[in-house]
Amino acid sequence: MSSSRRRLFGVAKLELRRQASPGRLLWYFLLAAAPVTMMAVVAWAVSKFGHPEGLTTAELQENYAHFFQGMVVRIVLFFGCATIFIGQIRGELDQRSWHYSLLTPIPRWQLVVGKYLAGVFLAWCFFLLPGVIGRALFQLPHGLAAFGDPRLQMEVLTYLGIAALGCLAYGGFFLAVGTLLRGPGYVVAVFFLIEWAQFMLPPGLKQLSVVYYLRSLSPVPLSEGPFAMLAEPLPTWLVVVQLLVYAALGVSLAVWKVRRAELDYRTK
Amino acid sequence: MSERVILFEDVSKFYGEVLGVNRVDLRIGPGITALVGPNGSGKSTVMNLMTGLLEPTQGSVRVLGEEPSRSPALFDRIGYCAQFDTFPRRVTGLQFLVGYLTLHGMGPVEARSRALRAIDRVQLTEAAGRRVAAYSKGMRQRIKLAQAMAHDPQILVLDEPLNGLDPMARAELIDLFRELAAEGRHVIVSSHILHEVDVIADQVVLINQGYIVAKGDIPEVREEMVDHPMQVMLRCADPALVASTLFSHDHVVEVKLHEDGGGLMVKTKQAEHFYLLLNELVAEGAIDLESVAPADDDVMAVYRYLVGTEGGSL
Repeated sequence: MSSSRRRLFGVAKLELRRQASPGRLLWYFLLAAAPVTMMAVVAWAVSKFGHPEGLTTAELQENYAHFFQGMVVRIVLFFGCATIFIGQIRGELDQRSWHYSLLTPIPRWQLVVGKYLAGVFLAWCFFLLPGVIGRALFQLPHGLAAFGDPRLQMEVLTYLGIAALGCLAYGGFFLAVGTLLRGPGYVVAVFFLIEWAQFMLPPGLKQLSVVYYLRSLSPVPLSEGPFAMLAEPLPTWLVVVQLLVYAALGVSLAVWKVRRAELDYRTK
Repeated sequence: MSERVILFEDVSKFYGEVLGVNRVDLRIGPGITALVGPNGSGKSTVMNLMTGLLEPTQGSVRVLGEEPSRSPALFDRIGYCAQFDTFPRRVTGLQFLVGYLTLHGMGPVEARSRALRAIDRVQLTEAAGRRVAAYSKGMRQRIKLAQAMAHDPQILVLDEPLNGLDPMARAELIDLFRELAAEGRHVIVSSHILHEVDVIADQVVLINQGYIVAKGDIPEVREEMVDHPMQVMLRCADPALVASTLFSHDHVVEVKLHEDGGGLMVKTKQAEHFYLLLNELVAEGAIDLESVAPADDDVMAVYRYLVGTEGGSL
């Protein structure tokens, strides 16, 4: 392994160890378990009491897609990534341990990127699968044979992709917020509102929202209700590129801040 | 030559409108250099500038020929034991060192071996596997020191490294600083405890309220302080006779008899001439001396004269 790659790996490893407190791990686990548990309850209820009359496969798919966007994206990914990424540099400043990293011969941009990659790894470990497992549980009372259908397989893979991209984009955003702001709480609250109300925003402002992009990738077209301000649908490849740019922008802002920052714990 | 030194040229650092240090010119070579001053005098600011954690508002800092805030590679040659008594959470002493050694590009085997060597050097081998959070204050100081020197740097910057240590541990670490300096390294130590500095430093930099008030080796600095004549304590057989003999010389400005009648305190503007004079008088048999001892050529006296603070712990 080259020295540079070893350093990057070292940063990521230190970050993972820092994040691996029992309290944090429990929080990530509970977040990840929430949609799975809810779908398990639904599966149990449907098995026990029978499913509502007249639900077609398309309606089942749409119901789960709404659940995925609401629960998995807006709650699990949002709060999971906020906890992981906001604390990456802000947490080190609060713990006054950031100088140990700054006093190593690793360029500051690599420190930020290494931490971001560690955060993405952690987020993927916890938050990639709940959406997929939830879909499987949702399907369970209706028969697992449906998983032989390539359309359902594609749907599951799409949820996996959405979760992966969501972690990247939320990660970039929250890393920047945690690095640039001393008290990021209010920004998180405003962003949370934006995520829930993005359908009412004008098309230009929608682009601030990660949900806006992730909804575009949904395997099932989703209605946004009567109050929605409609925007021109984007091709899938463009949405993916925009999400990657979104993530890169967040990481770049964090790098910019860290590169020009002086260490002064009195002001953090 | 500038490749071997730490160079501050007209360096000022302001935190907003608050002065950190002002117009600092320094040239620090290998050996032990002590930065001395009261809390808040600017010692840590100088150290943070040296290690690139702060950038000067004005002037330039060069360490071994490079600007520390723009040369990440320089940190292979600098080790900094900062004043903060903080550590990453949930790490053992060994994990703490190994973790940061990997950021120096070392593989796990080399990192572990270097970490163990550094831990051994600060005599913490038995506690290496325990969590740092469970260490005593003295152990935490030592593990920080081990972390600063584990990658074998040319320059060690140590901010109050002896704080919280018992006398035995202090003595051991002072020996270690001397060893490191003898290996040709730059060892920069800050302290607000003057007698400690007097014992360890090859040269001192006295700082007060952001200004360098003196620098060099202590006797040199003391000799330059012409406003404060040097005080020499004499124990002798006939103090009154000795006093009258000495007073006839221009460079002797004050003589005080001791209360016990067994000696005197002499103030002289030219210490060198004074000692020569004593030699001559003793050789001629004009006076009968038991002992001669300078009374104010230590760092405490120098600091007291320059800063107006009493010596000891500032």
